[in-house]
Amino acid sequence: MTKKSREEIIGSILNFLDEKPLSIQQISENVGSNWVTVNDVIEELKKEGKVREIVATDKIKIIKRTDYPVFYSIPIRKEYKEQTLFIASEIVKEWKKQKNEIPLNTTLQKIAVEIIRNNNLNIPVLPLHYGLVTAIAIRPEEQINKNYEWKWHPEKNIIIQSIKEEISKHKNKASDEEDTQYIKYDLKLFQIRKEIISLFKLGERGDIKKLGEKLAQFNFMLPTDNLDIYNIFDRFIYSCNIIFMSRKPNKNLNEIRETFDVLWDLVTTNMFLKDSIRFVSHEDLQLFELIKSFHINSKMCTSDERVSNLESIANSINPDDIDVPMDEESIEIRRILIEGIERE
Amino acid sequence: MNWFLDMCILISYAEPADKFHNKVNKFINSKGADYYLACCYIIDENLPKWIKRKKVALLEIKRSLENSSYIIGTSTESNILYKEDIADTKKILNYVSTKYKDKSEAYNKVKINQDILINNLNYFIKKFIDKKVVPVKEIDFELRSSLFSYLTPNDSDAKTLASGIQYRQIENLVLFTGDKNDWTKELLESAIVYHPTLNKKYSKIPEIKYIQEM
Repeated sequence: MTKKSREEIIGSILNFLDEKPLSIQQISENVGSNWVTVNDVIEELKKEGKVREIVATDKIKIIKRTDYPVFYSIPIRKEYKEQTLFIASEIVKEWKKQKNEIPLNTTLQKIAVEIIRNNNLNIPVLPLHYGLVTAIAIRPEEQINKNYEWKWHPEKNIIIQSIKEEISKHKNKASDEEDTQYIKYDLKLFQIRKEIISLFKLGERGDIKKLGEKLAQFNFMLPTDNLDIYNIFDRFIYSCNIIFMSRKPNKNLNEIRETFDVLWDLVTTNMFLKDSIRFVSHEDLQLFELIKSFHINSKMCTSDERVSNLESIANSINPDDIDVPMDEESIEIRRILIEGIERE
Repeated sequence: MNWFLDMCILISYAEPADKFHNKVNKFINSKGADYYLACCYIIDENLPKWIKRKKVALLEIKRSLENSSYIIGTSTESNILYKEDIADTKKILNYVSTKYKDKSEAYNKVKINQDILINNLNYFIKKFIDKKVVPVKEIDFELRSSLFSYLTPNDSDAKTLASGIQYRQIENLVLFTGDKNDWTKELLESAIVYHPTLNKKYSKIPEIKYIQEM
């Protein structure tokens, strides 16, 4: 067997990584070169900006192509990527034809979701920060000149016709696109989050009582499938409750808002990764779990730090400065809670 | 003076609707050069465990409000709840369910009030307790057992009192409580003074003062 040239190895690595992220060991096995050579080439490609590490621990390094388009770099099946990109590029072209402009990213994602849902296509539609999206981070301006194949059911013409009809229903206003989708798919958590953000934007002029109520509503609706996330959000709400009942409820509004944003990132990342597992091949599950843990753990750390800061603020408030509710219901609840305090 | 505080003092401080709340606040505000002691058992074991159990109980309330067929106490996390905790959780759930139609409002009502108690208790410990005394592992088993047999089964009280009595042998202190039924001179006499071995080991019997009389 002839020894591969460095260029051949580079080409081969980039080809394999075009499909999905891989560990250096997996790349080495696929390319047929030893680990040291592959690692050297990867280092070179990293310097050139063509690949980057997405997970780096003592035991494993997972590498992806810089242009790998899937959110969080998860290894979804190749056909999902191709199908989504076909739909996206056809939407951009049709939009340009009908409206002589490029659609916004949000608009493109929301239309793609509609096409997938309306045609009952088995392509990932997942919850992310601003609602349901495809699994692909699509840049509309890059799709205008792209041509992808469609080799699945239903026929290409049906998809294109569906795109033409769908586009007429959209106006390219990101916020409206979100609202429409939230109502259509009953995405209450997203709706409340948007209301919370609007209240935060009012700053000190805003209604703190209403903000507290909305945050509480949000907290109640939060799924409990991941208890670590539930607990960290519970700590956040604890801090908000104490601060909002204090004499200066507005004082730490910025800190609260920033913490809420960090937590929302954690919550939606978890939702996305939890739902995306069904679009991952069995052979890639281990890789997926590694990538998932890496993202969740790093976001958990950031969230924990932010929530801890907020907790210190709340914990420093003198109870004499807290406007404790003294209605009959509150007193009764606290009475029952206290009953068990000395229980052993 | 060293004041060894019973849990009920902390509770009276934390709960503004408590009948001794104002008295405890007055007592705290006139602290001066006095020292407030609390036993390690309350601070390191009893309270953290209570907080942990209450958090799980709140999660159980959420689950039950979300799904009416959910049975409180059936999740893995709820293993740490005592059967009395489960009964209390059901009591709170029933109470808020009858008072509030909106489930998130019902949940939040419990959450806010729980948060207030936790915050106030933690604040008290952080700001007013000068010294934690008697590590839990060093609580004298014989003393605790003797006290326990006179306290209508309340191991928590027995551990707290035992810690106070043990520390009295090292430093002078006053046991400070609102519990006139259990923390009494008669109890200390029965459990220690008339005990064949404990009376020698614990010759210094602490004085008891009541918040009611302050």
